[in-house]
Amino acid sequence: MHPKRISVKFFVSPDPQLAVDLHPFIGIFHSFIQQKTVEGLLIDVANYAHVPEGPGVVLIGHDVEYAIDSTDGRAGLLVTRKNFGGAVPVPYVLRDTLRKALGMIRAIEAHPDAGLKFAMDAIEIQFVDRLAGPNTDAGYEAARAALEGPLQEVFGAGASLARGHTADSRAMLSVRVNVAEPADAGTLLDRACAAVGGIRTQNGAAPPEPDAKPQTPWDVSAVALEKLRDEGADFVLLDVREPAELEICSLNGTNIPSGQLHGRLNELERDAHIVVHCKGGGRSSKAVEMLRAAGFGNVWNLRGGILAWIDQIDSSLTRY
Amino acid sequence: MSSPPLRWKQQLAGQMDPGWASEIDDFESQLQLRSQGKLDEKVFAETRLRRGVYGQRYDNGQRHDGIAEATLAFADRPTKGSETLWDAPGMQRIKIPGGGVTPEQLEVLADCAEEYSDGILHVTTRQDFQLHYIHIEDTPDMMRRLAAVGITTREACGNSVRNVTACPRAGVCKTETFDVSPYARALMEFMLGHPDVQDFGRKFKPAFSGCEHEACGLIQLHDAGWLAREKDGKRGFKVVVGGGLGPVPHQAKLLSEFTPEEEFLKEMQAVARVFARLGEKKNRGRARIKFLVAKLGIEEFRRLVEAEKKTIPHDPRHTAFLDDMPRTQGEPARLPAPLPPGEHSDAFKTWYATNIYHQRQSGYSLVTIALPLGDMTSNQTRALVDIARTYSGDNIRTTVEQNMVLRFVSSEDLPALYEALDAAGLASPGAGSIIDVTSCPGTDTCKLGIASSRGLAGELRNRLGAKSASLPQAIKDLKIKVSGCFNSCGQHHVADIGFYGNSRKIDGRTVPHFQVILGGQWTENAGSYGLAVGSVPSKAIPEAVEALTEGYVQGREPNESFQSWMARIGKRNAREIIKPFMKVPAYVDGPDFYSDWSDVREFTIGDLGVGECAGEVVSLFGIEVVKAESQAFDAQITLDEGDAEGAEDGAYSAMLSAARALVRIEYIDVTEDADDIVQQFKTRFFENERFFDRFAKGKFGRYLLDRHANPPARVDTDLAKQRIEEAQLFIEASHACEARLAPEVAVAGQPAQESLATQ
Ligand code: SF4
Repeated sequence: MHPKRISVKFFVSPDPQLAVDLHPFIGIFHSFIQQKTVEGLLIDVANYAHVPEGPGVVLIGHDVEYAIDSTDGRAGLLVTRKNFGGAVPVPYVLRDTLRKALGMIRAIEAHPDAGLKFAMDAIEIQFVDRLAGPNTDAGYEAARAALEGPLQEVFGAGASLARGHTADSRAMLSVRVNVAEPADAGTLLDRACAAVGGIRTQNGAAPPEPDAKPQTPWDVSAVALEKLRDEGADFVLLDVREPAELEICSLNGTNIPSGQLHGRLNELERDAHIVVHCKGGGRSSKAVEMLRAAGFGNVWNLRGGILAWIDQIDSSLTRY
Repeated sequence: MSSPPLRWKQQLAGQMDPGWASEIDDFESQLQLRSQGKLDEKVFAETRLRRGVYGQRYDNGQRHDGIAEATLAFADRPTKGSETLWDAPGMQRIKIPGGGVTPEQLEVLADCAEEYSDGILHVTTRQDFQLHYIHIEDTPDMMRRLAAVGITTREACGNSVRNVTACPRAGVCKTETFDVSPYARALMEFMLGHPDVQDFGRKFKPAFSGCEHEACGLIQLHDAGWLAREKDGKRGFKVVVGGGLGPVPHQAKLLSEFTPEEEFLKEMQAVARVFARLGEKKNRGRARIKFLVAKLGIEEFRRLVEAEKKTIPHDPRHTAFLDDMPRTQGEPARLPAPLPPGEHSDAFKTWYATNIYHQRQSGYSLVTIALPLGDMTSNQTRALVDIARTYSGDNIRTTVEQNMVLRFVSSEDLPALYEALDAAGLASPGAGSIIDVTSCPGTDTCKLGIASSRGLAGELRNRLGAKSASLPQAIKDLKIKVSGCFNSCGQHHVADIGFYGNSRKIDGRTVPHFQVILGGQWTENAGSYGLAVGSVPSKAIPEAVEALTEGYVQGREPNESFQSWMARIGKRNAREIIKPFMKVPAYVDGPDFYSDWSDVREFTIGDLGVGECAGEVVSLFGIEVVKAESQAFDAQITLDEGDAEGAEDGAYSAMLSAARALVRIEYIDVTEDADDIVQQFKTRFFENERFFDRFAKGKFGRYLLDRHANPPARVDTDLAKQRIEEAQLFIEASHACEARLAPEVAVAGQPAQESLATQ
């Protein structure tokens, strides 16, 4: 089961039935974009406060959307994870969505204008994909099987799952999670991050990308590379370092040392999507230029090499 | 869990029209090719636009976040159009011919809104649906799901025949000649993908109306309009062409007093051929058919169409639709019966007063569901579907006022229906009244938006709604329409009170404003357009509206319409009313004025993007020449009001503005002084003959030079008329000159400025 989107909703505490004052969230969400307070490629704020029981105010992102949503008259934070391609397993997506949601909750609860708190004793998960996650008994069983383990990792062994509230078979498949021993958002965030791996800053946000100088006209950043991986994109990661360097740290790419590249072009497909990296970007820049000159049209350079990856994405690898 | 992922393509294989299915497959492979950089950017842009897949604001990856211009870190991928990044969110337009949707279609739309957009269905001013923040890679599947229920997005955009709109009352209206819906559908089916409509220089919007005097079809503001007529017991149409809003609004001209039903498609085909052959292709700003009709004159245009008709070979499809034309509606769900007498709640009565229309078929009602800003959620949509299944059957339509209607509701059921709608948050009263404000998407999502039309519309709706019970009927009956820029997608020209977004530099900062347009006519199929009276800062508009409505109620004569009142008091007095609100306080005194409605960021027009659809850059010239156009437009009005001198002077100013726009391409610092402008124009464009037309040579340029050198001692009506014509020709020539200067941006097939909302 590989839904294209998954959403997680945390409800407003103490009473989700009370109307939320949406207006401050226009400003709050704009400031989150300015200050990169929460995770995701944030784009804009959409105001749907005029629509009853709707998505309210939405912080629109490319990979994630945060809404102060009041569907069915129950207010909460609805976080939808999207555009990660079809091949990413549900447990990974779920943990990642939780990580982002919890980061947002901490940011909202800390904001003086928001005046909102969220309950940690129950959440709702929706499969925003009627094909991969149909709202049927079988669909629910498959969802439960995929979700139960990762949910218990984050919410504790007492977390129990039930079919969502709605009786309308046209609605999306929804799973209700009741938590026996609620923890605070910070603890949950730690657990979600531990499970996902990767970095965790103050609010669970990814650090802003440092200003790096372009090395070729065909650079991709480490963040963009992570996104490609995230989305399960079909591409070749080509590592042009020497074998000895691979033993220190590696991104598990295909290895052709730069000195041999010229003679081994037949090992690569001319129209493949290729991202090349070395240690710091020097050798890979040359490799990209050479490959492009040889007619490879879709070749890119990881700007800053594996060192940039270590700095920005995965500090658990060894620097050298 | 190793089974291959399910795909909509296989899932829906037998349910789609095979032709549509393979078109969507083609689109999907083009999309894949482009994503690998193997298909030309322009080719792909045209392909996707033709399928209604638009760009959206910030899709060049740049956005002003209120503090600074920020780059959105989209992955490096091939673009999906010029300056349109692959991963940037887009808009999907879904065209709904005549606005008619079935419950099954609405269910799928609701699903798509949830799964691919943000759970909101938006109804446009041309009866389409739009979904926002769509990812391009989701579009083929979305199209398949829509195709499986009989909706195609093909030619929802691009230089093609756009959605055919029709009066939502067609078939149930008391004043219509006959039901135009089947004809609208016939035209849509005939023209979709027709070879004669593939070579237009610009989009073409058709509309149908059942009667002359109501607004519903708004045929006067369309590229072509058909008005139902009967002659000697035979059905046919009065046909008009060349109407349109935008920076230079045109009322459509009469093409034919009566075209019999069996000839109307053939005639349309002839119109299409004439337009394709003679319409402007290079300069997209002049490519709509209204410019061709104005250039040739309607008599010549008519003659060409007549001649063309003779050359069109016989095609059985011209009349085939008449044989299997449904003469009646879909089946009503319930038997007709009157509203039972009895006690009704006040809320019901208020709603009943504005949202119900008694159909021609007695015992049946047409119910309007007033949607705030044209939006409803997927859940509401499903609730509406259930209600429709119970009470009205298939009879659901969208309206150009961004609402939905249910038709053939038994009047007996109205109280129960009201309860059901209310439970779904769909029972807002005031449909078609002053609180039912229409708005284009504006800066929310449109790349060309200057000010927040939706923000303003929402604010006006809230404020007026709060006191609507106490408003005098005369005010309640007014219409307000808002556009985010001069492209007029909100149809502000035909509202009593209309607005379009612009901006003013004050205190070194940019302040959002709206131009106030008063006294447009909604009835008579949008029979006349309003007058621009001045720009008011966004934040002061609600007060200005209050002053205007109060001025009207106090100053009107018994039963005098807003329009007649406006005509009587004149533009100058109207301006006096809004004048107190035109001032902008200094930044320190009123920082609020420096941000827009529903936004907290300090205002900027830096986010203005490149328009799309067949999207050329909106050049500096393009923006500035609009001023000249509206001055020429106003001069005409001034003349109509009997002020020849003012009109002559206005026409002269229009020429100056056009000349200045041209000069500013090369010399940005030219002053507003007439001598300076004329001098610069002369040396830079006239003497070196750059302004010269191949045939007219320096003729148009001399209009300005002569008038500047010899101001008239006495002005009469004829002279004023002549000057206005000269101004129009001068503006035309400036456009042509600009197009010659920048051939690379004005090539046909290159995308041009396109408005987002309503096509
Ligand atoms: S182009 Fe149309 S939709 Fe966009 S802001 Fe202007 S009027 Fe509104």
